[in-house]
Amino acid sequence: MRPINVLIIVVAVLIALTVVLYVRRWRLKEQYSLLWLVLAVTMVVPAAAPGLVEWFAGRLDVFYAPALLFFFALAFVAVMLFHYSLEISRLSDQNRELAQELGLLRARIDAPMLPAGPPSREARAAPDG
Amino acid sequence: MTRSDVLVIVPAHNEAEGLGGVLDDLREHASAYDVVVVNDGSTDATAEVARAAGVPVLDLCFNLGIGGAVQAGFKYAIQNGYAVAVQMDGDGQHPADQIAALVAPVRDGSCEMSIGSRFLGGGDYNGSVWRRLGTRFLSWVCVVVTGQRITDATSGFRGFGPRALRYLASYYPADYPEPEAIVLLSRRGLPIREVAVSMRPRRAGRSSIRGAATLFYMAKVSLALLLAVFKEGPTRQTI
Repeated sequence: MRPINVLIIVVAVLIALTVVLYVRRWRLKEQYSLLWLVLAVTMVVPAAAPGLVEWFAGRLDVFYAPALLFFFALAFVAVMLFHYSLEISRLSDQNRELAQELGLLRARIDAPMLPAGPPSREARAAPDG
Repeated sequence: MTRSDVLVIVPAHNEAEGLGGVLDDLREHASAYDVVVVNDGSTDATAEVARAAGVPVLDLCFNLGIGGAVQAGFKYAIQNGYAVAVQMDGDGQHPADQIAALVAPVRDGSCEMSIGSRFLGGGDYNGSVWRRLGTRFLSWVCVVVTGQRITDATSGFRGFGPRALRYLASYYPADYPEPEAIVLLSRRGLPIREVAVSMRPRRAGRSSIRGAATLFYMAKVSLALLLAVFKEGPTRQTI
């Protein structure tokens, strides 16, 4: 095992510890921690068994084995970013609804004479002009 | 203030300068209708101008953009039992005396959304060449997607019936909602009709879309229009 493999394993363990630490302090949700723990584990696997990458590259007809690592690293980042786009969309929707709801409630407080509900029959019958 | 069953929604973002004139215009030429100003996170005196005119104000605590502001107005209309709503810009482009023309086809049930069009012979419109080309282009995209003749897809001068209101209160695009609303309603089987109106040049403020941003805007909206075709939503029966 070369020094780089040891280094990668150490970094992976540090990532896993950091994730656990932040979950412990209630600053990282479990659902996100899972993603990062998966990353730590997938870093350890090729570092601990260097022949694995070569073998897998051979099976896929990849001439330059490290390219496979880059591919999976990029795929991981892409999935994570997509996940964040989904989260941002959801949060901005909720944000918009909160702002609207707050405005509607404030308007109701400002105009207590105007109760919610359909207008009176007389108002409905009034002609438009 | 007497209650009508028609609500005029005036979205306003930093329109303190022009809003007073719009509200005067409404009082003079459209006094039969109720009005609400949606103050879309303005940093100027927009809300004060509206309150001074005795008009109810929906204050949004930060800027949501035109889509979020108008949708807040739709929600207000539903919560307060209005059958018909009209969207009208807060910058003085839309004359209040044209509102009745937008209300009529919605009221008699011939459509769920009426669009005030500048290009149906109701008056002269002197926007820049690029603006006109852009508007024409988006209208053309709407025609292709909906199979219906639309001449002024970006017009923000519109009337809405009860079913369109209920639908758009839960599904309304955020950024440049006018063309997309056409596609969404058309896909839900809610009838749309254009009405000839005249519009004035803007009294105050500047259009949010100008220069090179026009091209980006058109690409973005065209994509949104095509995607809107595939968006899920309630069917006509459930609206």
